[in-house]
Order: sequence, then C-alpha cells, then structure tokens
Amino acid sequence: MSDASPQGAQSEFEPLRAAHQTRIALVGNPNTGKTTLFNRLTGLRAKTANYPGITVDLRRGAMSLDHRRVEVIDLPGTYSLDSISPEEKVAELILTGHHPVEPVPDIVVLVIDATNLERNLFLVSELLDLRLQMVVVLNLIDAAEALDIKIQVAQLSEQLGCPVVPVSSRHGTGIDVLKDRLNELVTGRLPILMTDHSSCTAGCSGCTFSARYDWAAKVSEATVTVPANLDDRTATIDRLVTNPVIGSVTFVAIMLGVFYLIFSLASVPMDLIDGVFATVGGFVDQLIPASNVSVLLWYPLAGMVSILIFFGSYQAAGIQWTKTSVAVSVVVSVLVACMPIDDFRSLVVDGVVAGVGGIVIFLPQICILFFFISVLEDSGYMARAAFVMERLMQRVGLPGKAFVPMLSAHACAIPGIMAARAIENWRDRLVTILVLPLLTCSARLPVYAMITALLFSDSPVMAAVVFVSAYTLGIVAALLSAWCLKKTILKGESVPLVIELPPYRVPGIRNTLTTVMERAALFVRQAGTVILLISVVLWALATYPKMPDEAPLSFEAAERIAALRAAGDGETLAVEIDRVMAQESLAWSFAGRAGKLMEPVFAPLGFDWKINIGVISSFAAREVVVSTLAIVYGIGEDMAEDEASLVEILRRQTRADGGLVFSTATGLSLLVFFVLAMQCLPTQAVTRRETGSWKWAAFQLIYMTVLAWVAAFATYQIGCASGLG
Amino acid sequence: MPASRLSDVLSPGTVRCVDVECEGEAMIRLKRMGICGERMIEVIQPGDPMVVRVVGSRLGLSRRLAASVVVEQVCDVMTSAKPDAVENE
Ligand SMILES: Nc1nc2c(ncn2[C@@H]2O[C@H](COP(=O)(O)OP(=O)(O)O)[C@@H](O)[C@H]2O)c(=O)[nH]1
Ligand SMILES: [Mg+2]
Repeated sequence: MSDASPQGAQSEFEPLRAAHQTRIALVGNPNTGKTTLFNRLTGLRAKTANYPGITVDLRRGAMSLDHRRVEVIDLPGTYSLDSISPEEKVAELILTGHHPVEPVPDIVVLVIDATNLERNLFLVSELLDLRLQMVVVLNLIDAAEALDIKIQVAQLSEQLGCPVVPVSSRHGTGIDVLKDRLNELVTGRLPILMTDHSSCTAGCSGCTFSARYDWAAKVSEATVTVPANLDDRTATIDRLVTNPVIGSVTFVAIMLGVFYLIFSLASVPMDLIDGVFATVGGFVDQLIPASNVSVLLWYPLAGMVSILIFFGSYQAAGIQWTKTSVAVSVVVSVLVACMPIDDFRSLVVDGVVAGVGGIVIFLPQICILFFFISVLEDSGYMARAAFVMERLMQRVGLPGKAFVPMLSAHACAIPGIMAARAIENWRDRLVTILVLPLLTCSARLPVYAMITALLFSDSPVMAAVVFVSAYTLGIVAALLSAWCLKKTILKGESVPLVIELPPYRVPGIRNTLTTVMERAALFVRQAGTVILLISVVLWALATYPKMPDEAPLSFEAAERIAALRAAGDGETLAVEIDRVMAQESLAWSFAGRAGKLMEPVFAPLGFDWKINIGVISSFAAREVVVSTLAIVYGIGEDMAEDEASLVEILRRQTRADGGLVFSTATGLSLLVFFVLAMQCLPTQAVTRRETGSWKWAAFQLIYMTVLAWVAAFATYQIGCASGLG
Repeated sequence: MPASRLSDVLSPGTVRCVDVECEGEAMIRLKRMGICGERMIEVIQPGDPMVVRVVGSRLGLSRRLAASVVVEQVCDVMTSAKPDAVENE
C-alpha cells in the first residue's frame, strides 16, 4: 500500500472544473494541529459526517477562497498510509481513491509538525508518491521558533517539489499565505514536479519504510538546524511520569483528581437541571387546561405541539424528512390530538418533559469528562497514562489505552464508549465497549443507596461495605468479561504498545471547548433522541390500557381503601386514595401485566411482580426504578425523593406468605442484578453507533442480562440457604 | 558487534536496528514509527514498557514488541550519522 500507483488519471495542467465544488483535505500525523487549522479555515462551522459501517466521524466545513466556496475535510490523523485503526483506514481509503463514497480530494493540505520535521517527512514521502495536488503546512511554527529550531522553508519546498507554508494555527500566522497558495491551486493547477524523492524510495530493494526514513533524514539534515538538548523539559517530566513507581502514583493521583472534579463540579448543574425541569413540568401542567375549552381549537393545537416535538427531535437526531418519517410523525400527531386531555397532560409532563430532562441531566458530567480528556490528550499526558497502564491492562488482554474509557464509565458508560475510539485496534476497542457498562455508573448510585438503606439503615459501616463491594463487583466482572471475550469470540492477543510520547504542551482552550461542544452535540444527537423515545414508550406502557371504572379493585387495594375510610381524616384521605388508584392503574397497565408475566423469570431471584415493573421501567435510566417502586408500592411518586419514608414503607411490605418482600436475600439479589444488568437503552444506542451494528448492542444486552440473572440467582439462593430469606 | 534484541538492552544507550522479526500489524506499527532497518534507537528507559527515542521523538514500546527487534551495539558514538539520535541526556 505504501507504493500506491500514481494518480496519473487526471490531467495535471487542466484547471479544476468549476462545475464541482473543490474539496480540500487536511492530512497529517496525530497532534500536528489539523483540527486547529480546520477550525481556523472554516470558522467553527463544522459538521461531522460519517459513513455506514464502523463509525468514523469526519469534520467537514466550508471556506471561501476569493469568493469561491470550497469544502474542507479534516481527515483522521495517521502516521502512514498503512492504516491500523478504523480512523486511519478511512484516511487511507480516501487518499488512495478506494473509498466507496468519498472521492479523492482535489487538494491535499499536509499538516506537519515543525518541531519534529524528520518524523513527519515520512508521511510526506508517502503522500508525494500519490502525486496529488498538495500544499505542505509547516504548523506549530511558533513552537519551533520558541525552541530555536531553524528551517529553510524555500529549500524544503524545493526538495519536496510542492509549496511549503509556515503556519501557526493557534495564533493564526501564515493562514493568509496558505489561503493564497490554495487559491493558486484552485484556479490553475501546478505541475506535480518530479523530485529525486521518487527514485529514492521506489528504487530501493528491501524495506520501503527504511528508504523513506533515509530520505527524511537527508531532507531534514539539509533544511533544518535543531539545537542540542531539544526535549530537555519533556525528558525531565517523563523521568518522573513514566517511572514505574512515581509514574503510577502520579497517574492514580491525576485520575482520582479528575474523577473527584467530575462529581463535585457536575453536581451543581445537575441539581439545577433537575430543579428547572421539575419547574417546567409544573408550569406545563398548569398551562394545559383542565378540560377541553374548545374542540376546534384543541385538536389542531395538540397536533401542532406533537408535530413541533417531532420536528425538534428529527432535527436533533439528523433524521431526514422521508415518506416514512413524515408518515410516522403525522399519524402519531393525529393520535396525540385525539387523546383525552388528561392523558395529553400526562404524556407531555411525564413523557416528554421528563424525557428531555433525562437527556439534559447527563450533559454536565459528559461535558466535564470530555473537557478533562481533551486537556489530558492535548497536553501530552494521555500517552503517558496509556504507557503506565499498559502492563496492568495487558493482564486481561486489553491495551493501556482502555483504562481511560473504563474510568470514564464510572461516571457514565456513554462517554466511556465514546472515549474508546482512542484504542486503535478494532478488536480491543470492541471488547472494551462491550464490558464498559458493567462498571458502576452514577445512575446506579440511587439504586445502591435505596437498597443499602433498606437492608442496613442503621449501620453506616455495612453501607460502606455494600458500596465498595458493588463497585468491586462491577470492576471484576468487566475485567473478567474482557478476558473471556478475548479468549473466545474475539480471540486474539491484544496489540502491544507502540505509542508516541509527544512533547508536553499547554493545551489550547479553544480547541478543548470545541471538542467538548462536539462531543456534547454527538451525545444529544445519538443518545438524546433514544432517551426521549424510550421515555415516551415507557410512559405509554405504564399508562395504557387504562383501568375501566367498573374494573374490580385488587383485594389488597380494596382492603387498604376500606382501612383508610375507617380512619376518616378528610384531606389526606383523598391523597391516599389517589395513591392507591395510581398503584392499581399501574398494575392494570402493560407494564404491570409485563411485571406479572415476568414472574416466573424473576421469582428465582426473589423479585415479586412489583419489583419486575421497576426492572422493566429502569431500561430508560436505572435510577427510574426508585420512583417506579414508589408508585407500585402505593407511596406516590412525590414521596420517592424522601428516601427515609420510601425505605420505611418498602421495608414493611410483606409477601402473601407473610415473609418480607425485601428480605436481605432479595435486597442483595436486586443489588447484584443492578450492578451487572445492561438496563440502559441509551447506552445501547451509543454502542450501536460506535460499533456500526445492532448486532453488538444486542450481544451486549444478552450477555449482561444472562450474567446478571445468574449472579442474582446465586446470590438469592445462597442468601436463602443461609437463612437471610 | 554481536546482535541481540532490543528487549535485552538493560541500560540506557544507543543501538542500531538490524532487523524487525515480526509480521502483520505489529511489524507495520514498528516500522512506520521508524523502528526499521539501519535506524538508530536510543534507549532512554529500559523496562516494560520501555521508552526509546527514534527519529526525533520518544516512543513507548511494549517489551513483547521490543523482543522482535534485532539490534547491534554501536561501539563508537561517532559512527552514527544522526546527530539527534545520539545526544545523551
Ligand atoms: N503552539 C501551538 N500549538 C498548536 C498549534 N496548532 C495546534 N496546536 C495545539 O496542538 C494540540 C493538538 O492540536 P489538534 O488540532 O487537536 O491536532 P490534530 O490531532 O492534528 O487534530 C492542541 O493542543 C492545539 O492547541 C500551533 O500552531 N501552535
Ligand atoms: Mg484532530
């Protein structure tokens, strides 16, 4: 692949046809500032695009050259045209003209690092062989000057046979010159010169890599003067940071610090978002009139609201307005318009507003997480982190780079899965993605808290033990599963480490913020709409079919109402009866029936049908199980916030045989189940996106559910056998 | 000079790469970073993984891969044509 045939097909002197838009691609080694340059050129109006198959995002944007619009593509960073990662593969296919969708770019802007010219010249050598129209950008020229590296640009340009422009994309110097050069290329092509480069690399027998590096050494020797003790500063820091002992301690300290900051910084905006959405829900609730004011006005209005919501979600998810998507939105909107007004209210408040809230609540953690990941990456520390963790992670057959995704997953599996892109080898990346949701994310914490309070309310020590055990169980399960997957269906040794340890740099804040915005947008687009959809579907499952008025109450409910009536007490009576009715109608709904239907499946774990409803409803988000249990046990959703009273009531629940519903065995079994079960459809949507197929998402769901069931079964049975039932 | 493996180098110093004895992805990963025939490799920190300096940049390299790189000692610093590969810290 390194000696790809010259692209002689296009005539070299013919000016580009005005008919098609000129396409410029940015190419270069990782970390040479391609994205920074891209942002400079296109002014942050980028769109990410991807192609079918494994997801690789390409940033695309437009810039104007002398009033002519040209398209700019930011190709993934690569060291050579022999690709290793799926990202590099895309760059390789596009540049060599083998990509199924994307044609060869008209002009290649090859971004090279002026502080490390010789290494970057390797890729230059490969690209020269492709014989494309090319401009070489000598980026980071400010950094090179600061280091006293002197480069003879004219001479370099002559040796390479193409224009070379010194640029600092961070400070914006040289951008105008670059645009001029590009403009010259767009309006009239330059001849692609033959240099002595081709004879040098093609003629050599044996190792073409070596030949290219020989050429690179020759060119850099002739054009660059590098001072001695160039990377003193980096060497000094690295002596500590890559040291087996001090490095590991530093690593643990940095990761703990980051993690602490994620949780402490995110809690404020999360509480705020929680509050805002509760207020919005209340406001909307009041906005909707109590009864149909005017039929003529109401139907179109309700329909409009529904269409608007569809419009917003389609826009956010990037769904095209095709026949099917329009039909779906129209049919659903008509149905919505015909709904009784109380149902409509409940749909908007409990389905849509709660659903959107469920999306937004994730954003603070995701943004903060990606902020730190981006800072660590741009500063150069991330490569050291992979280096330090390499030996440990290799024990379970994963590369050192899998560590950061695993750490991120302790906040939320979704950013963890998105961060797994840093792992080059596809098999290693897939294994990492598959095991990430086993790690305890923050959505599980309310569930753990409820169960611990339920089982060991009077013992903070026991509570701590339970939390630590739950975290440990998740980590052990993830590592063991990774190990098993590598031994079975994704067989193969993990790819040993070869990683560039780049010089330390102060990260650019603009770059970092752009990355954060992009990742947040990606999350809203990919997971957001799924969360909204699930939230609405689960609302429907818990609401329909409605309990007919003449339906008999369950024995239990009738008994409770009778008791309440006997007790008298006017005001609370109505509230209490409402709660019993809410409980009854949930039992009557699809969700309630599903809970009863699932009884044979979950009875061996010690769950009754009410807990089953909680398990089902928690597919939107795990923490929902707490409020669902509050409703099914007739406590009222509003009381779920008040943990003490919820726990108090749950603790009093008894089974038909008089035993406690939440015995120690059942509680532990439920805990184990929630540690290990998938129970998060938004994560599944992201898994599908990152792996490019539902197949892996389905596999993840199945293996985790089976694992969770078996482990919870064992826990319950052992618990019962040892007298905790 | 007797040939040995890069993984056998136990103290910092410069060696010359003679051959890379692995194939497929591993070989490409090594070679495209500059660990290929006749190039100078400066071992900065031995161990697993080790830190080396090749073509002007520092690389982290797992011992398993280093074991497939055949190297020879460079007796005289002056024999190296590459000034930046031999400078010692
Ligand atoms: N000093 C300096 N830093 C730069 C320059 N261009 C990019 N950077 C920094 O280099 C790091 C990597 O940049 P990025 O654009 O993400 O590189 P990419 O991996 O090639 O897309 C970021 O921290 C940038 O702020 C530059 O011209 N000068
Ligand atoms: Mg980039």
